[in-house]
Amino acid sequence: MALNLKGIISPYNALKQAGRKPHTVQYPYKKKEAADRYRGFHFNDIQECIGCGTCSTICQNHAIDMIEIEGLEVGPGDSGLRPRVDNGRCCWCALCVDSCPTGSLSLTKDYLYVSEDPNSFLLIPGIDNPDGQNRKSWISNGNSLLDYKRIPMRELEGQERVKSFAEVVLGYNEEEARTEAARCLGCGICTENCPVHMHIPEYINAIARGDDKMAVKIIYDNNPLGETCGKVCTRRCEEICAFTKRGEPIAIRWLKRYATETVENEKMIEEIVNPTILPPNGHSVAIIGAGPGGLTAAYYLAMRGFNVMVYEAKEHAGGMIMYGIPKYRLPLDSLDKQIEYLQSIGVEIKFNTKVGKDISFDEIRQHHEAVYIGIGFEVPYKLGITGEDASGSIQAINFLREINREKHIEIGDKVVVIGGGNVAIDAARVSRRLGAEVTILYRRRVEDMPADWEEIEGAEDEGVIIHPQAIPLEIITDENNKVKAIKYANAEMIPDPKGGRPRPKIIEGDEHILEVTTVIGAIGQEADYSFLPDDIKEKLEINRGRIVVNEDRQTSIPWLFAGGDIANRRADAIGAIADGFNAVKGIEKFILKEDK
Amino acid sequence: MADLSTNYLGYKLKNPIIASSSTLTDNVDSIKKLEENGVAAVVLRSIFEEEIFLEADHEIKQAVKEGYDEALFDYFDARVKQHNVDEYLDLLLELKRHVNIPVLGSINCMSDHEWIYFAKQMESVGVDAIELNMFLLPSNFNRTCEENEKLYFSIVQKVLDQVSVPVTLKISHYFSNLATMIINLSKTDIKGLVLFNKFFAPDFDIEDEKLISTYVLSNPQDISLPLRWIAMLSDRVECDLVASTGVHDGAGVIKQLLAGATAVQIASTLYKHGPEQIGVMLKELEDWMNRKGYESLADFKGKLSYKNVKDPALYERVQFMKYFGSHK
Repeated sequence: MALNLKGIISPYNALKQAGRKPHTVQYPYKKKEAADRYRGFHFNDIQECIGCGTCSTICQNHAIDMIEIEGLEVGPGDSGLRPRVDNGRCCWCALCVDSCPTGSLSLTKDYLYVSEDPNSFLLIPGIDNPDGQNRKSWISNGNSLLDYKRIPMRELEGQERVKSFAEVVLGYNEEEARTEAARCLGCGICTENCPVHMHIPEYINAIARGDDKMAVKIIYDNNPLGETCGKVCTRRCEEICAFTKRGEPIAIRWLKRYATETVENEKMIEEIVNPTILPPNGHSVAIIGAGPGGLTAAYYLAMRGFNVMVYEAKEHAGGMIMYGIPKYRLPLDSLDKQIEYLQSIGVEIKFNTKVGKDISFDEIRQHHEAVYIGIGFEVPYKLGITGEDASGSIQAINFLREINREKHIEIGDKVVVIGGGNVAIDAARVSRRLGAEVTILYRRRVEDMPADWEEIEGAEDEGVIIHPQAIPLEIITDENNKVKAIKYANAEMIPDPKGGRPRPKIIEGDEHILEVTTVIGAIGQEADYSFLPDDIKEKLEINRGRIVVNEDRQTSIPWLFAGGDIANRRADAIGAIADGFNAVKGIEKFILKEDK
Repeated sequence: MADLSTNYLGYKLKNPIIASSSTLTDNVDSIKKLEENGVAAVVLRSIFEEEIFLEADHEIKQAVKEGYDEALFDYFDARVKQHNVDEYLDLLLELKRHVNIPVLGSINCMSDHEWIYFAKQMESVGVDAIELNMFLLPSNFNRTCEENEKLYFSIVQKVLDQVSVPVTLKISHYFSNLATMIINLSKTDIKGLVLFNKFFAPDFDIEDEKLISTYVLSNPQDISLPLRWIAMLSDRVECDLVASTGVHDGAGVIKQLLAGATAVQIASTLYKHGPEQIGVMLKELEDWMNRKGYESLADFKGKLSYKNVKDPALYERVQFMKYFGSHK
């Protein structure tokens, strides 16, 4: 075989080209801009995101998980988690973006990423690509799959309301409830803000799928006064609902109301809830005060086999929800139904038994191993102005109590209410129903009023006049010491340099007289601890009028527990219910540990 | 034995020494000690509106720091006020049971409607008399001196209209025309004027560079200011004058009585020497009266007042020429 030298030498021919200028030109590398609607890597506005996890839940490829971010400042309504995307799984469908309730999640035009490390394709949008902020290509505006508008609640019209004490809120019908419930994403962010951590997504989900009984059963998991909360809860849960960033929160309160109202009587509640009641454990607990906290503690203690006795000073249970909240907000038959159910499962209530008068505190202590106090704030602050003791000058809390007892109170035709909280608004709206012209004098601005905004609006709809920045100076009386007028001064708001609330300061000389027939004081309440023996008072830690308790609602005296207004910082029914619920764990721990 | 009694606010006092409003007069035990040592009347520690406001403010700020919602404390000052008033009224009621000398309530407010409220509350529990401890520091740039002075009359009149117990007024010397002011105030229905109140005096700590209080207690030399004005006005006013500030011993009491005071109020000397000082002062007064041959206070009260002194022009002199001239 002849040697083919050409074949050997040919490759070296290329050397001839060495050192010559190339015929082609190499341009520098340039990143190619994608189309504006190109769906590339995710971007997440970390501050706007609340970590609700909807993106993770909805992702069909399981490409998103939720992780903790170090150093992230977390406030109420924020889980502290943020999405992490596995770009190896992502199909860029943008379903996560279109269902993000806050609108924090988007897609960008960025698509190029090269790495040999497969784990590096797990990106935390917004953290790993902060510059994605300027390259968004797919945002959910206009594309959102979510419905940001809630189903409105039907109510009696303002002028119609003041004719009677009929319930103002008419409630959802079935269709409305299902539709509203279907809006819920089930993210569960709301549960954190609920003092008792009710299982909100679960019962809303049950309503959405048409299982109202299951919803009721879930509600009773940790709240035996669900119907009350369905009507009058301060609903902090709604304040942090994921929808609030861009729309109206889920009507959690109204949905709870809907579900609980489907149950007509206490027998039905018992059938639905079907509580597991443990056999008697031989231990006994006293509850002082049949308010929402006391009733809650009594209910769950009774279910755990404790012998529970509730001592109630008045003729009816409920405390402030019975005597403080007007019947147009919480009708008596609704409350009765709930209390009768509690009694039916073994909660015993001794009515008309005022501790310290009808029975001593020491006697109660002797007969029970632990005591829970939930007496509420029932002693009103005095207005502290001349003429306060005149006939026709009354306290809102006493006024509401007597009205709720269906007693007649003569208030005349011109009423002034002093204060800006829910009690003041309730007193004003009740006075309207009794036919009076009503003015509220509040010393700060309307936006500073601690009352629920819905209540304030409701009062205005009913014709209550709110006069903000007005400070009462004197109640003027006639020769029979009957209220004739009120003198007040207008105030200016002085900013607090330390960042507190602005303060009202009287404008010198800007004084006015308003002719009135009744003055109702509603500037706050405090507790009456006079029933406690001195030795207990000495040992009990009380701070700013409130009994100091630990997370089990246990006071500085181990066998003594407390809850509600006298121990928490909320001044609402759900706060008291949470205290009662948590105290059960504490009491159980205390007594059963003692047992061992 | 000399008669030391005097009449003030419609009460016959066993002697002219009154314990003025201070922390020595804020509890039953301390007041009982003062009574045991011979004091003729006490003025309770003032109920201060400003103090109540500051207490409420402090409490709210603390609560907010602890995580409370400030709105929960919307009218918390009303609660603090009521607790303070209740404590004050309880003290008054308790004193009624434990001491036999007249007890005067004392009020110091910032807003004019509060004076009336506190006065009426005190009257409701049977206070013997009310002293209005009025001092409006003339540092409000937006108010003229006339407006400032009018406020005194307006408040006094409002209180007088509302209560029937005797009312006395304790004032400062910060007026554009003090003599006229005192005379005009005496023409209202008040029963007495106390000259003058002693208040917080600011000073600086130059090491820590901060504001501090100074001259908390008076000195015997401080007597000259009230002495001058009592001597000048005791013959011209239509109510009793009571001397306050600088009365530390029996001589101080005698001087003020000679000037025309009906009684004296003391506090600093009690802080310095204890309640026993009252007995010492009374003994000095009695010894002096015996030495001088006076049988009652009326025998020498006002003997050196403007009307009775030989050279009244001395009271009106403001320069030191004569003083220094006589000591050359």
